[in-house]
Order: sequence, then C-alpha cells, then structure tokens
Amino acid sequence: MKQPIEFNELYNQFGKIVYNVTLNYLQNLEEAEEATQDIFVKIYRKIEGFQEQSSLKTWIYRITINHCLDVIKSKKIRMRVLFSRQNKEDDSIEFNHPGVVLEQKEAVSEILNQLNQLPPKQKGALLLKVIDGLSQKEIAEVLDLSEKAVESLLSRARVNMKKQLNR
Amino acid sequence: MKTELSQLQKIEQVEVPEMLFEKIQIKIEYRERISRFHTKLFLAAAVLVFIVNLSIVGQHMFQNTSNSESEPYSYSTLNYSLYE
Repeated sequence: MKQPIEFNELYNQFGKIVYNVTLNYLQNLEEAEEATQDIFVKIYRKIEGFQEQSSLKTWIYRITINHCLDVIKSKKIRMRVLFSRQNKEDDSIEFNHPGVVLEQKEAVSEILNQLNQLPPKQKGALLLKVIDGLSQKEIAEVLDLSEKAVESLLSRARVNMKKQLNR
Repeated sequence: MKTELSQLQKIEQVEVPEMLFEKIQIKIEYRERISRFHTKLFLAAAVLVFIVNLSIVGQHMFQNTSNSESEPYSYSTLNYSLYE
C-alpha cells in the first residue's frame, strides 16, 4: 500500500464520521458498512490528487455524500426494475437506528421516514445541518453549491417536512 | 418544526463496526490486484495485436517480393507487350 500510516491516521480521524453519515443517510446497517468501505477505498485512491482547495473534512464529506447519493440512485433503479411501484408511501422503511435511545426510537423513526420523502439533496443538506452541525458555508462546499442555494435548499426542505408532518 | 428536527439531534454517534479497517485494507488490496491484472491483460492483448499486425504486414511484404521475383514484368499490359 502507498501510505499505510497516513491512511491509518485518516481512518482514525474520519472513520466514525463517515460511518455515521452513511448510516443516517442510507438507514441500513449493512449498506452503511459496505458504503464506508467503498468510500475509504475511494479516499485511498484519490488522496494523492487532493488539491487542498477545500479542507480535508469537507472533501471527505463530499465523497461520502456523493457515494450515498449514488447508492440511493442505484437502489431506486433496482427497486423500479423489480417492482412496479404503485404508492410512494411504500418508501417508508423500518430502521432501528443504533444511535437512538429506546424512548426516542418511535419519534426519531417517524422523522427519518419523513426525511426519506425529501429529494436527495434536500435530505443531505438537512442531515448535514441538523445532525452533523455543519455550517451553511461547509454544506455549500460539500454539495458544490453556493451559500444562497444551500439556504434555499434548507428552507425548501423545512417547508416540505412541515407539509408532510401536517398530512 | 424545530421541535421535530431537534429529535434528529438526539441521534448519538455510533461506533464503527469491528474489523472495519481490516476489511477496507482487504478491499483496497483486492481492487489493486484486479487493476494490476487488468493492466497486464491489456498489455498482453496489445502485444498480441501488434504481433498479429506485424505478421500480416510481413506476409504481404513477402508475397510482393516473391511475386516480383517470379514475374519480372509483373506490370506488363497488352500495350507493353505490343511495344516489345
């Protein structure tokens, strides 16, 4: 391997973050583990070409979010091929998040289901803001958008969530 | 709305699964091995194509030489033979 020590350090620093982002995004333990492995393979391959135009943290978040978007896209295509979807409500999945205490499980699960109904970029922006606590500027760098675009993305996400909760 | 979203903040960070780093290392090594194999396969195919091309060109050249040796007036036409 090219840089075993540096890669090891990188994993120690960001492994937990990447795993948790994929877990929140994909809401499936096996898929999150698989995605984390693939993301670190990508990081390993691309680290030499890292231009330092953004911070390492933002760069890793970008790879993670893009990978999650790809996984969701291919999963949707697979589902469409396998089943003719009649109802969008069927998208709700039962996911027992290991990071949620028992008393909160039902409430959090409901919010996560509402979140899954949002368009992928809105969902990503909201997760990065609320769970990871990233600033608007950082989210803009991760999603490769302007700060204004992120602002409107977040406000649209909140409006859509509100609509769904009022249904 | 804020209250609902604040539910998400209650999600605690989860520890990574056991042996995840080892699995990543295995995946990296496996993919590198596959990539090396593909490079070798590509090189072998390129060399094979080059040899085949070379043999075809060589065959043509050989045929041309032997033709010109067996037929000294290989380009003779009716007119040419008339002049003779």
